[in-house]
Amino acid sequence: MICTACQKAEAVVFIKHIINNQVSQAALCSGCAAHAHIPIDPVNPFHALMDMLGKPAAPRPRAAAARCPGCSTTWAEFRSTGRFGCARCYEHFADHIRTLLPGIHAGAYAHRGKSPKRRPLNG
Amino acid sequence: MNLQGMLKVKLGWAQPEGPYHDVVLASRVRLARNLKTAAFSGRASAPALKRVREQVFAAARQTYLKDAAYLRLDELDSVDRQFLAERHLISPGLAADPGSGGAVIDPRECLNLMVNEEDHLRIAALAPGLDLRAAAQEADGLDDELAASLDFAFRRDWGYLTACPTNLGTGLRASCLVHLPGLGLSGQINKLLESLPRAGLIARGLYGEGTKVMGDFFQISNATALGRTESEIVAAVEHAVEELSRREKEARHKLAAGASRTQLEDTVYRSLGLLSQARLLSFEEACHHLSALRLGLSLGWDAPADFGGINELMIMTQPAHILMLAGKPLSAPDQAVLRATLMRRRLGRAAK
Repeated sequence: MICTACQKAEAVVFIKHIINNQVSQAALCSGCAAHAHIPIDPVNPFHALMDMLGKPAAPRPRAAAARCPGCSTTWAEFRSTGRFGCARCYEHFADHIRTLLPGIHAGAYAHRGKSPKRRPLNG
Repeated sequence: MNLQGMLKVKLGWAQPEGPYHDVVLASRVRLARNLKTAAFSGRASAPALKRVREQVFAAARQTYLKDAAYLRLDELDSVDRQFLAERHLISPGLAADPGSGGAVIDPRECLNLMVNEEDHLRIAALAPGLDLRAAAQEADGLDDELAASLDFAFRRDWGYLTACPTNLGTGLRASCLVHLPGLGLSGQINKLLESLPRAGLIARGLYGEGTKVMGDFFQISNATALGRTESEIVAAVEHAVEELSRREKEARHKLAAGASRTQLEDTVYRSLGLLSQARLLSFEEACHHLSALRLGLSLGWDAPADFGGINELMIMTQPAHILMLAGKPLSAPDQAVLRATLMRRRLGRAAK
């Protein structure tokens, strides 16, 4: 089956959305799926992440900006391991991370859970 | 601390208690946390990681974990570490490569910390049966106590910052260790496991990520940690596992009724015969037959053990547990002999 988005490549992922009883279907090739941040293997988020990072559409920061000032992890290292080196990576690579998150967290992009209980002032 | 003493501990989470305990052995909630002050465990230097470990230990001593066991994993041998992994207290990965890892374990083994795995800190709480809410409450309380003295890496928009962005947000994984022989025997298991991702769930093997499925035991957990509150994630997994448990019970009763009953009885009692008579047993074989025996027990059939006894045998006959029990190195065939002896002693004499 041909990709319903680009009408060129072979489709590898088939999506069925049911929103308010309206069914919409799509069949996407790996490139269009990566572009839409849809993981090929939605079973395991880590596989989905590695899959997205391996695609040509994955973010590639320019060389100068590629090293985290906190731990000197490069974006290339993150692409190969799927792991950041320190909390500052999240600031430094924020723009790229933002585009990855919905694909690995089922469309979610923001935290809604708890925050750390503040340290007591005299502690 | 003498880990051999842990052999005598009645594992709190393996008691046959809690809702759906004939299907759900245990519920577990873990929270991933990192300190602001150091690079993540995969990146930081060994001295930095040792400082993280001491910081976490010091913080934990201020909480109700003050009477817990504090273990530096690099000071233990590989059997000890595997023993901890078999008790689900550390990950198999950390057991194989301890680095500057640590573990803090409460006396009933229901609340524990794992230090310097891929994140600086993993807080885990376990409860018997299907009771993720109880486990979540425990983990949440300990998290708050630790946050009083540890500065966790956190952003308002993305939540708790983790080494792998798949854990970002709540850092929470709610999982249940489930026993699904009925769905396995009736051929429904694959279809059901394939349907889990649609509900945002993942199935893994007995010891979690990347491990093998043995004896129809699976871990079911949430796939994503961002975008929902902790209680929403916990409620969703609990709901799904409850539904899965209902289907498993239906499948068991269907198998035990009508034409397939004799077939099932044969499977269960062959397993009992084998376990109570064999002279050599591998863990995988033991696991497979204990699974069948557990199924018979859940149908109220006569067996020389109860759920507690079978859960205990499942734990005690694991490879590192057998070595710990022997108290000395054993060759593979000798381990199989000791395992079979233990099984005969528990199931053989009492067999009618």
